[in-house]
Amino acid sequence: MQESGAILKINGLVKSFADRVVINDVDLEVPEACSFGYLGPNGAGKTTLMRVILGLTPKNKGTVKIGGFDAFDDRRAALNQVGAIIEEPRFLKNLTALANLEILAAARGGDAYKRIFESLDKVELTHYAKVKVGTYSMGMRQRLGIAACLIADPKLLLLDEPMNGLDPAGMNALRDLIQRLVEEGRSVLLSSHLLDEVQKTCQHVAILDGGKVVIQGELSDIIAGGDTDIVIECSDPAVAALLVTGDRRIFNCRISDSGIAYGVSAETDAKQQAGETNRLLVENQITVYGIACSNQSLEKRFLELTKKLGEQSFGNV
Amino acid sequence: MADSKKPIYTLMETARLSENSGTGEQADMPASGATLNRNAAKRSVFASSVYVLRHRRGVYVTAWVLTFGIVFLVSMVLEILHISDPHRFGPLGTMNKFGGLSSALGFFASVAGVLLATAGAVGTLGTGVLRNLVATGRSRMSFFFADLGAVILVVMQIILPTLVILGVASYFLRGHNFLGGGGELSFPDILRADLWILLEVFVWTILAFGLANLFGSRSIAIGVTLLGELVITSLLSAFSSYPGWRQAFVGVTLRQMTPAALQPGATLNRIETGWQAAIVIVLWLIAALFLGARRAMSREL
Repeated sequence: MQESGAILKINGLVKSFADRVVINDVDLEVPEACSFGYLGPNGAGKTTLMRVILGLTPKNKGTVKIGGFDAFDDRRAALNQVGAIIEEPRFLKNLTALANLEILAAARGGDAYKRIFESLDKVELTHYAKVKVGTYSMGMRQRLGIAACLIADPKLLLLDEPMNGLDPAGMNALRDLIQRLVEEGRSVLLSSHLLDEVQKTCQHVAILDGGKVVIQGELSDIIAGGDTDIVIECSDPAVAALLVTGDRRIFNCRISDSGIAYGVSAETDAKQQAGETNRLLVENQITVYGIACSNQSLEKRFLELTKKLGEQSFGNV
Repeated sequence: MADSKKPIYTLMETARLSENSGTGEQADMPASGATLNRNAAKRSVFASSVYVLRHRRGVYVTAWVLTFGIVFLVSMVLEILHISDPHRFGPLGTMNKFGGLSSALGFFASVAGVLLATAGAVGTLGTGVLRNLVATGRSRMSFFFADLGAVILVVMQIILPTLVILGVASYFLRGHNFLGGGGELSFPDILRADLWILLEVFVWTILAFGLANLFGSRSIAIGVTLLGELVITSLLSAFSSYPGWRQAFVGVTLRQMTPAALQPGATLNRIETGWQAAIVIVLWLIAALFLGARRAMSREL
C-alpha cells in the first residue's frame, strides 16, 4: 500500500475556522527516512496541519495518506505508524513516566507495551522511569514525549516546535536523537521557528505562508534557489557602492568600513557577477582585498519567501 | 546526551527475561529500579481510566471521607453516646438514626460521585493527555465509555462498602422499641434505603459525567449538578402546584422516591407510578450522556 517512497502524502488539504482559512490547499510529501522541517510564521497553520493529520480537528477538504493508509477513512491503521508531540509534550504530572507510558501503550494496543523500556532507554530516561513527571525538566519532558512516540514504533514522527524551551545542550541532544531516528529509517516532520536549528537538523523543508506551502524540497536546493550574497573588501567602499548600484542585477547593497556587500538573485551567476564587479572596481582604481560569495541562510530564504525581507533594516544605498 | 547511542545497560534483555518468567508479578529492572508492571488489568483503556482516576488523590480521598469517613465517624459517636448513657441515647440501629444517617450518606455520596465523575470525565482533557490518547488512532468513543465505566466502578467501590457497613452495623445494633427511636428497623428497610442511595448516587454521578463532557470544565459541571441537586430540587419540591411538571425534573423524582424509612413522618407527594419515575430518570441519563458524548466526539483537541 506504500506509495512512491513517501511516508506522508497530503493532497489539497483545506482547513478553516469560521471564515478564516488556516490551511489553504496544501500539498505535501514527506519522504521515508528523512528529517523534514515544516516552517512558517506564527499563525501560518503549522500546528493545525499536524492536528488535522492526527484527527484532533476535522478537515474541510483534501486527503492525507500515511504509509498508504487514509488518515481519515482508515484512521487506526494510519495513526499506528505515527508518533506525535503537539505544541508540547503533555503528561499526567502526578504519575510516573512509566505509568504515563503504560497508559499510552494501553491506548495503542499491540506490542506498544513491550516497547516501553526500549523507548525509555533510547531517550535515556530509564533511571527516571519511576519518577513523577511533575518533577521533570522541560528537556526531560521533551525526551519523554519522544519516548511516548517511540512506543508505537512509528515510521513517522510529528514534532511540533520540539526545540521550544530547551537550552543549547538540550537542543543538541534532541538534534542527535532526531538524527538517530532518521538513521533507523524513520521520518521526522518537525515544525519550528528556530530556522537555524532546522537548517542543522533537516534534510528537507517546506515553507508555509498564509496557509499555503510556498516551496518544498531538499534544504540545499531551496537555499541554493535563493539569492546569493557577495561580499567585497575594498579600499573605498563608498565609491565602490556608487559604482555597483548602476548594475540592475544587484540589490540590497550595504556599505561597511571594510567594503561592500550586495545580493544577486538565483537567476544571476554569482561568480561571474563577482568577477565583473572586481574588474569594475579595479578599472576605477579601487583596490580589492577579497571577494566572497555565499548562499543565503535558511532564515534569509525563509524571510524572502514569506515576503518579510522588506522589514529588515539595512543601510541600503 | 553525550555518547547517547550506547545504552547504559541492557534493559531490553531484562524486560524480556521478566516477560518470559510468566509469573504475572512485577518484574524488577535491577539497574534503574524501574519495573514493568505485569498487571494485565493496566493494559486496557478501561483499566487505565480506573488507574488515572484512583490516582487523583485529592478527589479520591475526599470521596472516601465524604462517604465512609462521615458514616464511620457519626456511627462511632452515636454508639459511644449510647454506651455511655443507654437510657438517654438510643442505639445506632433505630429507625430515626438509620434514616438520618442514610439521608446524609445519600447526599454526601452523591457529592462524592459528582466529584469523581467530573474528575474522570475531564481529567485527561484538562491535562492535554486526551490529545495524546486520541492521536493513537483509537476512537474518542472508546475513551468516553472507558472513563464512564471507570467512574461508575470507582464510585461503587467507595459507596458499596460504606452501605454494607452502615447496614450491618445498624441491623446488629438496632434498638427494639427504643423510646423515640421511630420504630423497629427491619432488613427490608435497610435494603430499600441502600437501593435508593445507590440510585441517587448513580443518577447524579452520570449526570455530572455527561455535563463535564459537555462543558469540558470540571468546576462548571460540579456547579450545575449541585445547583440541580440542592437548589432546583428543593425549590421545585417546595411548590405544591403543577406536580406533574415538577416530577419531570430528575431531582424531584428522586426525592419523591425516597423510602419511608429515610423520611419517617414526612408527607411527600409520592410519584404516581414506578414506571413514570423510571422514564424520567432514564431520559435524563440518556440526554446527559448523549450531549456529553456528542461534544466529546466533536471537540477540537
